[in-house]
Order: sequence, then structure tokens, then C-alpha cells
Amino acid sequence: MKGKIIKGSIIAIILIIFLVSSVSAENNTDDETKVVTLSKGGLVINYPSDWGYSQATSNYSIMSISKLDSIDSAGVGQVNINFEKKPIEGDFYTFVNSTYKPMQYDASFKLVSSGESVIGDREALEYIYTSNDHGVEREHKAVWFEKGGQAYVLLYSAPIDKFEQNLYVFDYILSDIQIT
Amino acid sequence: MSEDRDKLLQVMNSLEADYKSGKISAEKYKYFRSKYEDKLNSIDAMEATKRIRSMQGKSTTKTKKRSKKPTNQKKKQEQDLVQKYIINPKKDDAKYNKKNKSSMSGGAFTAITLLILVIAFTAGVAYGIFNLDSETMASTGVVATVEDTAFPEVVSVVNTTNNHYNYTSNDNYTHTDTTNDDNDDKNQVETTTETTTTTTTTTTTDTSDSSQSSSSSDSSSSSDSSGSQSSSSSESSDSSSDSGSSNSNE
Repeated sequence: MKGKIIKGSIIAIILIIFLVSSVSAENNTDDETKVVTLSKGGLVINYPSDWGYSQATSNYSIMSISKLDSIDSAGVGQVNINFEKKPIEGDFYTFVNSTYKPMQYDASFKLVSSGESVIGDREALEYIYTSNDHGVEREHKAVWFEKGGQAYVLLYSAPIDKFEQNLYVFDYILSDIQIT
Repeated sequence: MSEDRDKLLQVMNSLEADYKSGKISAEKYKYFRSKYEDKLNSIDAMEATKRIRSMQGKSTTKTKKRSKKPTNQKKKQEQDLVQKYIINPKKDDAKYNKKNKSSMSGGAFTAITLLILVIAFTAGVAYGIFNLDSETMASTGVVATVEDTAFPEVVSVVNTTNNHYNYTSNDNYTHTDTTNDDNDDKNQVETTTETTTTTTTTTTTDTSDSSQSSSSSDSSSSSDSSGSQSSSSSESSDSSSDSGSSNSNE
């Protein structure tokens, strides 16, 4: 009799452990935000799983990601981070400045701030500006650095009202990026 | 009880003597000896039971109330006590071990355990495969299109007011030419302002700054292709400079 009770309780315990572990595993997958790694064009980034890999229309784009809940019905991401590179013509600083100089003559762009920054151990330039495209105001933060004769730029773009609340993801990627 | 035991011992002694003298075979000797030993053990067990009962404070004598035939339960209790406190021969021990084996055999338990392990393994593998698939989909599947770029097409709007010439010579000739170039070009709308004032003989004041003059030159170059009015302005510009130089020569 005692033997039966012991065996039955062992089986019950095993079953309970299995069920509890499976249920907790399911809950973990639902609630936790995982970190996804993406490696392309000499850049390795980690980003949260509530962002997804996107296809950029720019010819200079290496890779881009979009926040999943910001994608509109047309499949266009509204909160995006785009990684681009372009061959440098002349000096790096002159090249970057020449990108923003024409914006001074375009009313749809407004330069908010600019300054120096650091990515890893590399010097970088940081520009924040707004744009107005068909009445939709967007804010952009671009961080530029030089590597192998190419100007790399990490561009975070979002509608003005969503810019600040998602900026931490861009800052995390900047702090965590590996340039190989 | 002790008499039975003594008799049994005597029988066993005679059995041994017969075996040694060769009256009985070895097989018979072993058979009878084991039989007598069993009986001797049972007598010992009975005595031990009595002793235990007396130690527990229970009376060893049968009361009148008790039925002559002991019930099965009492028999079992006695057997349990014997098994518990007395070292039994191997036969009884084996029987006792057989009794302990419950209805749930070891084979069934092993099968159930194996089944549980197989289910757990299958579930784990399936869960792992499911998770692996979802992560691959998340990392490789394109979820959206990104239209933002760090190299946007900038539409430059440059206001240019061009050619305000106030020319005063000895002849009190004043020439004012105002041209507003409204280019049809979608990307560039330019307005250049350039003011040149010549007072009396040789005084020429150019109030336009360097940027304005550069934009003016851009304007003139672009206005060549834009219309006749702009070409006339460039001509007037040339004439003014010519007149200025002639004045300086004077």
C-alpha cells in the first residue's frame, strides 16, 4: 500500500513539474521581450523583438528595422531606424555638412541641433532635424561615423509625438553596436 | 512444547546416526533433515511468539471466550510477528518477499516512467523547434518598408531679387531695372538682389554681399536659359559695369 502511494506521488510530482514548467515557459514567451541580433554590412546590432527587419527604399541602405506596432496599413514603418553608408567625397566633415547644407534652403526641413558624438571608440557626428512631408511632421536623429572611406549613418526617424518615447531603443543600439 | 522439541531433536540425532552408518541415502537424509528443521523452527517460532506476547503483557493462556479456532487475522498477526522478530529460514523469507510484491509490478512502473520521459522529451523538442522557427521568422522576414533616408532629396528655395541699378551720371541718367526671376524649375526658385549705385562721376557703391553676388551670378547663368527678360538684365549689368569702368577711366 505504501509502495503504491510513493509511486503514485512520484508520478504526480513529475507530471506537475512538467505542466508547471511548460505553462511558465509559455507565459515567458508571451510577456518577455527578447533581444534579436542582426548582422549585415559590417554592423552587428541587437534590438528588441517588438521591432522587425524592414526593407528600405534608399539605395544606400545596409539594413533597417521598424517598430512593429508603428507599421501602417500600407506596410510602411513610421518608427524606423535605417543604417546607411555612402562613399565619402572629400573630407568626412565636409561631406556630412554638405548633406545638411541644402536643408537650410528647404522649408520642409528644420535643423534642431548638431554636435559631436561617439560610437564605440569612433568619433561621430550627430544631427537632429525635423521634416515635413505632406503635412506629416517627423523628427530624425542621425549619427554619422567614418569607416574605410565610407560615411556610415544611423538614422532614427519617428513622428514627432512618438520620437521621444522610442528614442531609448536607438540609444541602446548605439551603445551596443559592434562595428566589424 | 519443549517435549516436542526434545523428541524432534532425538529423531534428528537418530537420523544422523543412520546416515553415518549408511542405512539411508544422502537424498533421504537431506529431505528428512530439512523437514525436521522446519518443524524445529516452527516450534522455536511458537515459543518466541509466546515470549513476545508475555513481554507485551498479553496472556499466553487461552481464555474461555476465545474460540478454539484462531481467525485468519490472528494467524496473520502471528506470522507477522514471527517474520518481524525471528530470523526465518530462506524458504519463508522468499515467501514473505513474494507477498510484499504488490499488484503494481516493477515492469508497469518502468513503462509508466519511460512513457513520461518520452512525452517530456517530445514536448521539449517540439517546444524548441517551435521557438527556433519563430525567431528565424522574426530575424529574416521583412515586416515593413522604410522610406526614411539620411540622404533626402532637398528642394531648395532661394529668394533672389535681382538688379536694382541706380545709376546717376553727369547726364543725370538713372537706370533702374528690376527683375524677378520666377523660374519654372520645380527644384529651385531663386531671387537675387543686387544694388549698384553710381553717384556723379566716379563713385560706385556695391551694397551686395559676396553671397548675394554669387547667387546673382547663378541667377544670371540660369536666367540665360529662362527668358528674354533675364538676358536683358544681364546686358544691363554688363552695360553698367562698362559705364563704371569708363567712368573710372575718365
